[in-house]
Amino acid sequence: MSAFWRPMLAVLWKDLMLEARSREVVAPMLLFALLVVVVFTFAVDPRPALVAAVAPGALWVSFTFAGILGLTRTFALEKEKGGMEGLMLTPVGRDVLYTGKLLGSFLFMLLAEAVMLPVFAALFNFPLLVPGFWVLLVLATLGFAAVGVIFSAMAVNTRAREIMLPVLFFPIAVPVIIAAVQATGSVVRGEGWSEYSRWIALTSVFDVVFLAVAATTFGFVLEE
Amino acid sequence: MAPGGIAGKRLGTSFRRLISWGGTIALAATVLAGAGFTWASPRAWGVIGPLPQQAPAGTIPPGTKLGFLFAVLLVSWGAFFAYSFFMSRRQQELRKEIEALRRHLEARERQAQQTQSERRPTSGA
Amino acid sequence: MATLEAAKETRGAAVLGMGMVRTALLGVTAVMVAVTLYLGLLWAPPDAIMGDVQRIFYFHVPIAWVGFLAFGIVFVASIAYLVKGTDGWDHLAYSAAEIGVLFATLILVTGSIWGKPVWGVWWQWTPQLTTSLILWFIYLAYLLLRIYGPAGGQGARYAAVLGIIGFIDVPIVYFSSILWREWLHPGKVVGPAGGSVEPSMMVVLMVSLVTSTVLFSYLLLERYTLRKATATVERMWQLHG
Repeated sequence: MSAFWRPMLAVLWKDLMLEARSREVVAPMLLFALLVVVVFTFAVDPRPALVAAVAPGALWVSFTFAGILGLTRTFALEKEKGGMEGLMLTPVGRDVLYTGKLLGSFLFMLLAEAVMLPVFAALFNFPLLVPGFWVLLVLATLGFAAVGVIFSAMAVNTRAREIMLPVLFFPIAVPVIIAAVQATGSVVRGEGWSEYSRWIALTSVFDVVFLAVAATTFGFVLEE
Repeated sequence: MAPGGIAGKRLGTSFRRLISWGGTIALAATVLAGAGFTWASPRAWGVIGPLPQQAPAGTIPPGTKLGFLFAVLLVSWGAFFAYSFFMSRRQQELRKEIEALRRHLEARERQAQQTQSERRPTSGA
Repeated sequence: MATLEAAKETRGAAVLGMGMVRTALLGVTAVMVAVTLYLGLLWAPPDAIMGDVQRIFYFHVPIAWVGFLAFGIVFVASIAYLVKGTDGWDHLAYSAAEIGVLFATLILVTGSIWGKPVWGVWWQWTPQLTTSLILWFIYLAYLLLRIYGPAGGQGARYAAVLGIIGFIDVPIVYFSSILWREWLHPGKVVGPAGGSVEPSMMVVLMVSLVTSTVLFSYLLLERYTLRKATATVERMWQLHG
């Protein structure tokens, strides 16, 4: 088992250290997420009556767009500095590399979201203390990272890579986006667990399926 | 890095993985999709409109809203013929390219024979 | 002499679909299309509520079926390409994806034209239309990835991975849009209202499904042959050019 965990944690640690030193991912993501929320607010006129209807959409549009920004950076640094070859030379399975990169992106996104949530709570009068919502947040972010990492690894080697990542990512992530927005709306309306558990179930299915498929196929994406 | 070195070995493990649990997942997904389709298809009638029933003679004037029907036919067949046209043009271009390639190769072949036959007398003299 | 043989091989590979299979398929397609047009437009009775406009069904449903079939073929061919690594599977996946996008576009257009007289609006977020729209986006991305992606085997592997992920996503998208619709409009998404479809209408629908499958096979064969021949010619230029 440690043949999986040790190298995987090493890849994760490398990404975390890199981010701690360079601060190139989380800070821009945060700023961008904030900007999206502000633009959204201007776009829809947040009267109190409208807030409940608008908040879930604003939240997830902001998170997905910021997430895309973070995912663009996942492999951009590796590509620029030749880190990809280094990773490829390590004698570990490709699923190990995938899991390491996935956890890195996942943690960065979660971090940005955790900082954004209080801001949302203030702007949209959003109820934060709902455990079910946290479960949803973690599962949806994991789903984004699961497909995002593999598409990011592809997009970095394409022409027009800034366009390719969203074009690849958004259609596939549609179920998670629908689930996240609907469940968040349910939370905002103060409904109970039974009202949004189906969305959590759907997100879990998405996560399990695409973690498995992406870990299996990641090797084919990495090979030159 | 030698191709087929470490990379080759790693690819080997992912092959095995693909065949074992990846393949199982793919199969399960296909079965699920098939089941979803069979489950959904009878519902499709109810969702996209009332179930079709034969009209008693003379109840609906023939030709009502026929424009929509012809729009569908026009668009579908238009798209189909446009695509066929696009393919046949590509086929023609390809034929021309094959002809160019053939001429190119034959010219090279002749040139090679010529230089060979020119070289022989000079080496003999 | 090797180059001349290569030229012959190229010509052999590129005698584009002049084989018996192609001719036979074209003939069968033509006959079946004529039969289906007759059955769908003239023979089948008009619908009790929608009248003649219901005949759109005999074209819209087969188009939808062929679209999903095409993407299923992309899925299978993508897996086969990753496992076997032979170019033929890659050509098959690409050809099916291109035709699939054509038919997915037609699903959306004919679905809208169906919607206007029947629902009164051009678009409704039914699970079927929603799923078709997302499918359309996924496989447009697939074609874009072929254009902007890296050349050679790497680009083909990228596309294969997307072909697998995209198809597995389809049932999940479908279920999520069903849940979504139930959430938005409780009770609107209902099962069959009871009763059964008029047998003669069902027969016409079945015939049109078969016809569309034959038509699709013909298009796929043409496209596959064309792509394979193009790849052969390109390889020959690289080898001897």
